[in-house]
Amino acid sequence: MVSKRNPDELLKFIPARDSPPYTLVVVYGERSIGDFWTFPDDGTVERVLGAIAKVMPSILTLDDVKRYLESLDKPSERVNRALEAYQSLVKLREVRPGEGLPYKYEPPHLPGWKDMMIGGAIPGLKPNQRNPYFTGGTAKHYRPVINFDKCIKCSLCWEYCPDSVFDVTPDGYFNPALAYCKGCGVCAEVCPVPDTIIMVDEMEFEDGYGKFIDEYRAWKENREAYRKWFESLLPKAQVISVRKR
Amino acid sequence: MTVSIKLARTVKDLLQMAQTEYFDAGHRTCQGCESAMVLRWVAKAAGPNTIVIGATGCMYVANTTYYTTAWALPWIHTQLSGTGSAVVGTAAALKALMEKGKLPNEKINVIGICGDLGCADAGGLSEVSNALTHTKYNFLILMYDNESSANTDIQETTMTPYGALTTFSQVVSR
Amino acid sequence: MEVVGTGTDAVAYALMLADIDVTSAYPIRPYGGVMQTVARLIADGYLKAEYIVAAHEHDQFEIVKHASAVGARTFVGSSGVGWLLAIEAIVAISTDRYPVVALIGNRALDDPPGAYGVEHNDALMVRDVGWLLVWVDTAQEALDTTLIAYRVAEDPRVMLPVGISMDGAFLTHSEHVFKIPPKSKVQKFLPPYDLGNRKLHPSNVISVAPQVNEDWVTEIRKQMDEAMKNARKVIEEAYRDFAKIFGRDYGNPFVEPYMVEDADVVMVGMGTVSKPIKEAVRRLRAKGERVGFLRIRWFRPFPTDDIIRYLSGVKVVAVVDRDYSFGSPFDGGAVFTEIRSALYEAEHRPLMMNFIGGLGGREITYNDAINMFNMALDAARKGRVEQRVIWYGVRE
Ligand code: SF4
Ligand code: SF4
Repeated sequence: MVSKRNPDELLKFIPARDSPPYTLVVVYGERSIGDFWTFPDDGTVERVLGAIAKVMPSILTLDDVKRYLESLDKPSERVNRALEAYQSLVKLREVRPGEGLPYKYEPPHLPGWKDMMIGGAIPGLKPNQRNPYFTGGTAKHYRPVINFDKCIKCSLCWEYCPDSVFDVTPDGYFNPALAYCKGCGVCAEVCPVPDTIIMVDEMEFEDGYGKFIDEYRAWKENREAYRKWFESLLPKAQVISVRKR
Repeated sequence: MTVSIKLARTVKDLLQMAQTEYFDAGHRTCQGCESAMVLRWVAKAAGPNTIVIGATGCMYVANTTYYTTAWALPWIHTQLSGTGSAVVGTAAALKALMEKGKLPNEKINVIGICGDLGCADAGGLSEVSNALTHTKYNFLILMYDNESSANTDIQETTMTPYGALTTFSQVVSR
Repeated sequence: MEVVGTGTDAVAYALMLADIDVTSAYPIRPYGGVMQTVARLIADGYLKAEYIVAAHEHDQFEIVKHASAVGARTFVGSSGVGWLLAIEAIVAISTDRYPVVALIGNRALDDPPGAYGVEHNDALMVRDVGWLLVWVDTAQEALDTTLIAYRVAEDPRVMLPVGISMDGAFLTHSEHVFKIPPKSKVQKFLPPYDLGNRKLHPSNVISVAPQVNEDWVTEIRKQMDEAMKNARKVIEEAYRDFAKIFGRDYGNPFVEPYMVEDADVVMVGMGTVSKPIKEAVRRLRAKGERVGFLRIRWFRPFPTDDIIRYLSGVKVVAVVDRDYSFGSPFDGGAVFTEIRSALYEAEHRPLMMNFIGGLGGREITYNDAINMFNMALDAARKGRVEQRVIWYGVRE
């Protein structure tokens, strides 16, 4: 795993396994992410190769890694990245069975050919029905947290969200269905009131895996507690827009 | 079941209608995909009496994944270059079936959605061009031009600007 | 009503009777005649249908696929390389399970271009992808088979497209006398096209052909396999009803046996090659030779049982292929290879010969048929085949 966090912290987000024990290897560094795709040119590949050479030389020795990287463009830069990881940036942690997030993956039931519509057809959605089989919300790295106290109900966040995440509440607020939010930050970008939608690192929260909190409900239930919570997150918020700060 | 078309009479009506999602959450577009946002609004504007045709491209691959879909409108895939043909075929069939009394007579929007590879390349241009000659059919062709074949790894299309870097660009690697 | 017309005219009249809703045209010989006749039928008010002139064959086939998806009965067609240009749409029609009916005016493939004459390789290109394939022999059979094709294709147990093959020039452009049945009978035979819960319409919100992965493709193909197998039964039912309603009985729907009882040598072929071969059979029978002919109508689904029934126990089977399959197991034709495979399970396996001939529209005459029979009879007498595949009439 490539992360700036230590293995114990990360383990809170990794589903527990029954068996066998395994070793969690953390390569120190900024996570490599273009969301769903890995950027090929930010050194992640090289650092991971260096880490493998360190942890499992039986698979790959440092010489193998060097030889390979030297055959590519920008060889010295690449080799340095691999060496960095090899020399100092790798943390190891033995993970015992049962350690980790108590989350059990339920594989979906796949129907047999007799139960499927022919011709590759499938039932469509009903209006306003989000796709129940594919949410995508666990893919996000930043989560929008909304300060309903400051919201002026302009609806821009709702308009611009490409994933139709916002539910319109009866009193005209816009409540994100976090299970469907991919964390793009568009809503925070378009919100005209500073610090009303903030994007916070998803690893600050432990409510993922399909049981995301309902921000609007939490705010309605206890505005004071919500305000405190929001303020505690504010310093950790990503700077989304230079324009606003 | 028949679908009745509701016309907005007040601003409130309009807002109410705008709040109905026909292209809803649960698709696989990348974070912040502006094309998905556009489709969401196209679907709202078109309303329920619409048939959507999606040519191969990221707006097809990402929005429907077999056994799940993001569409609350009837939707069908067409081949990469088939947008022009598909809208003509659909609109013509609706016209024929309505005129012959095999379908109730009503206005149904036919919208074909394609990317630049689908409609500006790949033979798609000729099928769009042919579609435009069939003026007796009503349809809308929507090309979202992201200037590359983005879904298949960002390759060059005829819409890629000169000098832009794609995975098909012959750049010197060392 | 009895009329004189070409093979393609006969198909056009069948389309009028079947009341098609949408058709799409693009010119190529020799199939093109059918669209000229359809245009006249629409202009004269005999048929009400949307007639769309396409940009090219891919356009043409994609148009009817989508018309079929919203519930229109459709017709389309092509020939030779035109048919192959459309192959992407052709495959999508069968995998999306739309009962499109197509006419393939069989034509030699390019290059070199310009051979308008018959060769079966164009239609055979789709033999593995879920198209039902049938070969017709006369204008009357073309008309009847078109009606049967819609009935079989649109049957909920099948829901696959049908390609009707018609030998270029020999049938597409030759005039025959044929009967046009009254529409009332056709309505009794052919129920309206009903896609059921797959109709693409705002009242039935579905998504058709979403992007698919390996979790699903096997199941989707298996559905097609089952549909193709169902087609055998559905074809039988359709011919039985056809005979009842129209009074024209084709006997066995899949193959046409001609004097095969007690035959030592049976020639097998598809399409109009039947004419000279049947004549040769008659003359040779008159001389006391025990010869016969088996014409294959339905190539997909392949009539394995009938092939075994009629050919097991025969001394020599000689297959006339108006096609080629380069590098196939015996370097013979496609029909030969399939028949050989079908007979593997037979109790008595005959000796097998293959004549590849009549390519690019070269005529196979009565004399050619006699020659071929003589070679096969010779093999029967000797009890062995000296040359398995013969390129008949090739200039050395
Ligand atoms: S972060 Fe992106 S996906 Fe999430 S609610 Fe905001 S706009 Fe929608
Ligand atoms: S954009 Fe900001 S101010 Fe406007 S409705 Fe959304 S949260 Fe409220």
